[in-house]
Amino acid sequence: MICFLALTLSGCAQGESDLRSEIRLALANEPPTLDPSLATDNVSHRVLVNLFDGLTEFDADLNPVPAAAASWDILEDGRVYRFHLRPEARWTDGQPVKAGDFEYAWKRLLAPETASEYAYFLYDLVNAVEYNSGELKDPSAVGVRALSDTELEVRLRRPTPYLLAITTYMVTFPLRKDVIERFGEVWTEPEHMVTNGPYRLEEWRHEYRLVLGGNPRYWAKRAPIEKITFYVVEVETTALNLYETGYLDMVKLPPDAIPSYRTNDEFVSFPFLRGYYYGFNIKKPPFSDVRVRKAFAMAIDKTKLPEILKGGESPTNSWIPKGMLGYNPGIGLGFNPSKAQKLLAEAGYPGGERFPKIRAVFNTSPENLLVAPFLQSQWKKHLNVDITLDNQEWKFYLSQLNTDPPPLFRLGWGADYPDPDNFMNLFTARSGNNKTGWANAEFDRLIEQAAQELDPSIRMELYNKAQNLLCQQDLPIIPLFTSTMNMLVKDYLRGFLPNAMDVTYVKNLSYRRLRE
Amino acid sequence: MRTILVRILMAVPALWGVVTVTFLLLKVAPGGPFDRDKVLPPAIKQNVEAKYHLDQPLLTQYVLYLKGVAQGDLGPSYKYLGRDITRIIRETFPVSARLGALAYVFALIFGIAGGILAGLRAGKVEDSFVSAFSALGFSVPSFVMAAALMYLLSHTLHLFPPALIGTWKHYVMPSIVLAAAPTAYIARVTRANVIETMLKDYIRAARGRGVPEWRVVMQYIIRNAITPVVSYSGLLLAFLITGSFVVEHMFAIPGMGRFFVTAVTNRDYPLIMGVTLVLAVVIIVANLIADVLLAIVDPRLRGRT
Repeated sequence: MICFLALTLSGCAQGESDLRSEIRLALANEPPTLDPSLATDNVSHRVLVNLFDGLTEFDADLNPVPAAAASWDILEDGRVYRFHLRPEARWTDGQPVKAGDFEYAWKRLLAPETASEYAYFLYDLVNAVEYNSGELKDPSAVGVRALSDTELEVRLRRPTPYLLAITTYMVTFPLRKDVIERFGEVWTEPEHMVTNGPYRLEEWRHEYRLVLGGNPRYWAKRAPIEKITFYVVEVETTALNLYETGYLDMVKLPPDAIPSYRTNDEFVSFPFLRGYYYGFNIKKPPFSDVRVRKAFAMAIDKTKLPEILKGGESPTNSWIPKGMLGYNPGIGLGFNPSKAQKLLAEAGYPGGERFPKIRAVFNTSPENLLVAPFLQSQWKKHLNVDITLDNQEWKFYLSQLNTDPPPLFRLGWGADYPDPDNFMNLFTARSGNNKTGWANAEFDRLIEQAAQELDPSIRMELYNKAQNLLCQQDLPIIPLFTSTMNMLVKDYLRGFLPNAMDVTYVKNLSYRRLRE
Repeated sequence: MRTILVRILMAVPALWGVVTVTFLLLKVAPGGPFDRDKVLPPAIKQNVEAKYHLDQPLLTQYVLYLKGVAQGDLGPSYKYLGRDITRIIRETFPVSARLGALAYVFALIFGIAGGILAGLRAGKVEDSFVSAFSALGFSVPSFVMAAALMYLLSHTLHLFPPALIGTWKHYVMPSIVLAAAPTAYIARVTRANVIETMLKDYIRAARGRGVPEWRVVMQYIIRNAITPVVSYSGLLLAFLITGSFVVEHMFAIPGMGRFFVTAVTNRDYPLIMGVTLVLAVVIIVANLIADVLLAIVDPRLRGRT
């Protein structure tokens, strides 16, 4: 036994890496997949944006800028996009990147047999829904096709102002049909994977580490940092320990640690496109009465939330987050306890009398366990209403939300692409994510109209009207705050430009000086 | 030999029972593997369920699963796409087994040695010292101990890496945390048995006959004192080598232990079934080994196993 242990422990020492050309980052969990057609999570996305070039990528202000596509034309009033690919772009095996690779990837995403959970990202394409649902069998009828090796045409069923933002996202990355057909489900293993981005996959030790090396055939200049090592570190405090002891170059801070690092030179904080809200099931009393909903919203002093959560959260009364078109802090119901009490009395519960027993239901998480008792105390203090708290295991909670949403529940939403449609279509009557039971035809009409409006100022106006219905007039939800990303970044790194989507293109980073 | 063969044959229906009960429990648990905070459109949900046969009747799913297990195919993971459970276990089990074996050796050596020392020196300072350590090992939760060791030995003293794997140094802190509770238990049990054995008539008789003290201790006291430890060691080995969620989670170790929790929270049915099956097999095998060892240590038990 002892011999066995001695042998196994001595045979796997980590090699010393060249510290001048490597960056070491943490992933919050094992990437569920590196197949862009199947990936749905932030962790996979963090890796994939460094392995692949989409048609476009984000700049620091989250504007889509050229990547695999050098340019594009928008035709037929925004219903047709024609992308012109870089002829010099190459896959890691030296093959040219062709428009057909994009056509194949997009149709693969939509094919029913792929069973991609994010196929709906391309539902704005002509015949995409029909093909994905199996109603239409012919993929050639779907609105994407290669006109030549460097020309890709996308046809939309309606003008889609956020299409370019979608082309930054992993599900639209190009794929090599020959590689996938040859290797099947294991095509994403390092020995088979072919990518077109600034890095290539060199090692993937599952549940532990991924190593990306520079792609020598990349069309742009070679990235200053030649190697990325991602370690799978699920516990934030462990990641922080690794950062502090020099094993990581960047780390997300756990909430408890934020106050002590706030003045640190390596501390970086930036808004994150994630909204947090409490929703009402408006079909269940007492929240079927809008006055009760408004009273609950106005009884919360949201300015206290950052003190409780300590993560630099931004309290909000409106739904579209800061950093996105449509953000309007003037919309929504602010803290007004006397008005809240008056509304509750008008609804038949003066001083909180006879108010029914209500549970606030939420899933168990450190953040939720801080927010829920705070809300409970606010409603008690300002409305004299007793709300009981019920925290539940995540999947159990979701199954309840999907079958019979409770009168009062917590949810959040993180942006997949930085466009208000991503946040606002959530509460349309047809949205599966709308658990409130609220349906407003006017709201739906405004969202539908805004989704295909190309003029930003007109869109802004439409979203103002829609937010007014959502956050002020009907109030099926109480928006509470938008999140903030708090990180530590080693001072020897240069070029780190935080963005609200938390997308890090490592190719833009370099070293200010050598590590000590 | 015949007894061992019978035990192996009896394991087959036991494993079938484990598979069946686990399968049924998972099906009645609320929430499914593809329930997300971002709800899937119906067409997409239908495609996903069809891919994994979740649109089939329960009996069909059960039969398909049993067929797979019989052929050594534990099915695909619902969470880690494109990876089958057999491969996941093949990659992660050795890591857990390595760490678990180290903790096991650690627990046996220090637990037995500490227990003997405390028993022989009952009421003295050595006894108090061992008892204090046992109390710590029992009462301090693993995640607290892990955090404390990280802070002290890594962050402050820079003796060991705080997490990850690679060199022998990476294994020191996780092994200590993993071995703490079993070491404490073994020490206590051993101590109690040493004290009890020392009061036996045959010990007094041996001393009366002039048998040297070291022989009394080695041949009579220790041999009797470790018998209960041997019977416990099978189960202990099984649990240690199949991994610990807390230790692997805290130290970022790519072992199988983390799946005992994460597979359940993800409702990754095939993975839950896979790790449960592995645990069941390891428990059966480890208990069998423990029984054989027990028969070697205590001749009175031969023929009873």
